[in-house]
Amino acid sequence: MPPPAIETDPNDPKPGPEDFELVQRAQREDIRAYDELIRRYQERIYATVYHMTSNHEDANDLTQETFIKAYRALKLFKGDSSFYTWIYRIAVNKTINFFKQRKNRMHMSLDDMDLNAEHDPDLLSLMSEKTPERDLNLAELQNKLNEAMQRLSEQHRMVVTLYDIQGVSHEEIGKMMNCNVGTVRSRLFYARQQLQAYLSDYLE
Amino acid sequence: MNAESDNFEALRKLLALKRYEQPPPGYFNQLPGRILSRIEREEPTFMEKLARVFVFRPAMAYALGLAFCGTFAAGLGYSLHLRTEQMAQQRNPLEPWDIGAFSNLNPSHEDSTQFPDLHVRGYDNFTSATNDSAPKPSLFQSFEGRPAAVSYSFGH
Repeated sequence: MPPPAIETDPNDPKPGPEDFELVQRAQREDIRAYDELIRRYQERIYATVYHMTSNHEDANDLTQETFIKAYRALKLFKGDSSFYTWIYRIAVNKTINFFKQRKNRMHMSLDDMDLNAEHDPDLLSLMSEKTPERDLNLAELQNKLNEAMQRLSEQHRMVVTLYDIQGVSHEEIGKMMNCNVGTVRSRLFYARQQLQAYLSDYLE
Repeated sequence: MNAESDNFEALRKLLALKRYEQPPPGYFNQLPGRILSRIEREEPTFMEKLARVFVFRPAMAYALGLAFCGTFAAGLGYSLHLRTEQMAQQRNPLEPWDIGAFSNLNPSHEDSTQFPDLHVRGYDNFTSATNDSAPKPSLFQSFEGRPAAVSYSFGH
């Protein structure tokens, strides 16, 4: 089974101290509290940045920079939104700025697929078809998928990444990307249409 | 909305496969340590420190702004005052374009020779002659040309 999508409800109870308590301690420069916050959100932040860049090294750099910037700006965090939304917003802005600065560079350095992927029923159904277009292995499918993602604009790719891959709600995406829900929905619809056209050979 | 979801169901299944892409094993165990060591190693920039001070102490930002404006205004005032004094000291009564200098000028031959640039042949004699009872020189005395009849009608 694929790993579960991230919690869309920021108020979901988590084991251990609440985010707010950890944030307050980290604001008093308690480095252990911040370490706990990093461990809580590192996988989600990394995944978002990775799916945007399709490059492990860039995702690694951007994830580190996101947490460093968040730590330096932590005292400005007033708790108006959840820490989860706040740090995502930093990651989204950092990633979009990264693309603005490196407009023409596109180099994929993909993470390996988890071994569990081979047992995924959705993947098996995609690969078991007899048509020549679908006679491809897992690595090829991964490449095609990432290539199609890279053909979208940053804004559209971000919406698809957050909604379809990360499982974030429309409302939360709106807060993270500083736009309204209608814009999120329209971007998502357009991005899916584009992806469907690019990947038509691999879709039923 | 359901129809829309159905339309993209296969695509969503395909996109969900991206969740299997994982970084190298042990990556997430090392990442917090790397981040924290960078936080401790890398000092915030001057601008970051300044921004932090101003955000937490708005009064300090206002005070600094006020001090800056005051210093600027005082500097501007002093500069203008200094400039005026310098101009007054540097004022040369012999400058030909200085009206004050001309007002003190005695239009005698001796005085006018102090200004070679203003010395005009004939004019000095003319001006000095005004003091004498000698007849004034005619401006047309040296004219030796002869008038000739001209016609301005076309064809001639």
